[in-house]
Amino acid sequence: MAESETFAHLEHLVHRGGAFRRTVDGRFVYEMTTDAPGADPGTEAEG
Amino acid sequence: MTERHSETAPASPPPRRRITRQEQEPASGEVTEVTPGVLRMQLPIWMPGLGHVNMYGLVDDRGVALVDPGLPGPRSWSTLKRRLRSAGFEFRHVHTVVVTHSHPDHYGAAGHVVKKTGARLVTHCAFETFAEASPPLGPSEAADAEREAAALAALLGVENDVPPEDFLPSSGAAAGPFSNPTPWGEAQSNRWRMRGVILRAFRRLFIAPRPTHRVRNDDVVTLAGREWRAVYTPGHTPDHLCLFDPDSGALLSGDHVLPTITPHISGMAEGFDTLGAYLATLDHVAKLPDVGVGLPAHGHPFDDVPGRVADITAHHVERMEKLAAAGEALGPATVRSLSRELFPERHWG
Repeated sequence: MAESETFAHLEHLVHRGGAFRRTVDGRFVYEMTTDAPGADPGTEAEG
Repeated sequence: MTERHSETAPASPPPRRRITRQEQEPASGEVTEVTPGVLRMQLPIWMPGLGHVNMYGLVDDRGVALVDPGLPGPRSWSTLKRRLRSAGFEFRHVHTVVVTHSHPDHYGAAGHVVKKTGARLVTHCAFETFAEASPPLGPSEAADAEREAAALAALLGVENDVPPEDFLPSSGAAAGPFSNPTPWGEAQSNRWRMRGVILRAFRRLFIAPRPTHRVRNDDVVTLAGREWRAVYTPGHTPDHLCLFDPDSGALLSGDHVLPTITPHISGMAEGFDTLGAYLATLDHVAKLPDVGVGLPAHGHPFDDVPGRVADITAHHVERMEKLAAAGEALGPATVRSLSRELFPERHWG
């Protein structure tokens, strides 16, 4: 469960511009940007 | 490219005495009216980390609607029948089943209840289970299958801060965490594969639920003499549904907001921001007008929904900060290597 939750957090970071994702030998590899932001809880829900 | 990773797990804190959280309490036989016309009935579950699931009964002059009727299998089924009788109902009184999301401790018995009662089945329009029904099992086979699944679940142990429920792949997430390799390209761990085995055991026990009413956000569902608003809350699963009564402020929160445990958020597929969806819909339920009592799927009713949302959000913000710091320290890194920087070894996999 730790890995799937970490994956969710990493994908969120990518969406927020805090990380880059590349695929290396079939695996996702993440690299943080220098100004990696945290979560943004302020967006509106969509139905 | 060379990937750097630490050779050992992060130092674990000294062993601490585990606290039983309210979500982990065994199912009580007590039937309680938690808000007018809404009964809380607890059913036993044997998924690690959780002790019961709340089946709510929404009572009206037509009979009763059941929300999240629990796991498949003989033990839960016999308890469900006892709880109904304690509440003064028989199966013939059940006119509606509502399932909040596609985890087996919520939908597992829904197909059986619908078959037994002819009730309508209400889910979010995205609701999808992981498998079709298997041929019906005899009583002895069903009992064996239930014991087998429970024994496997027990092997996984208890994780206090991460409810070990499984994400069930949907058509919108073609890969899904149960695929091998995982969506992030690494082979499944043994621990993760074990969960797939448990789900195969589930598949032998349940009747596939066929929703008759698939609702969308803000649709009205009239139950217990109230007009509940459907609140679409993806994150814990892609099809999670809460119901909100604007008149009383009651929120049937499913696993979206739990009283003390942080609901598990699984990544689904490349490019899908599951956590972003979850945080946005957390914010949405916190801002529902005059939201009052939270009626969770596990644990006790709670009063401060916005406060609990703030706690869960803060947990994720903190986790993001730790993840970013770990990523900066490691450099380019895989999901597994980053995960092992954040979680102690007992949570790996």
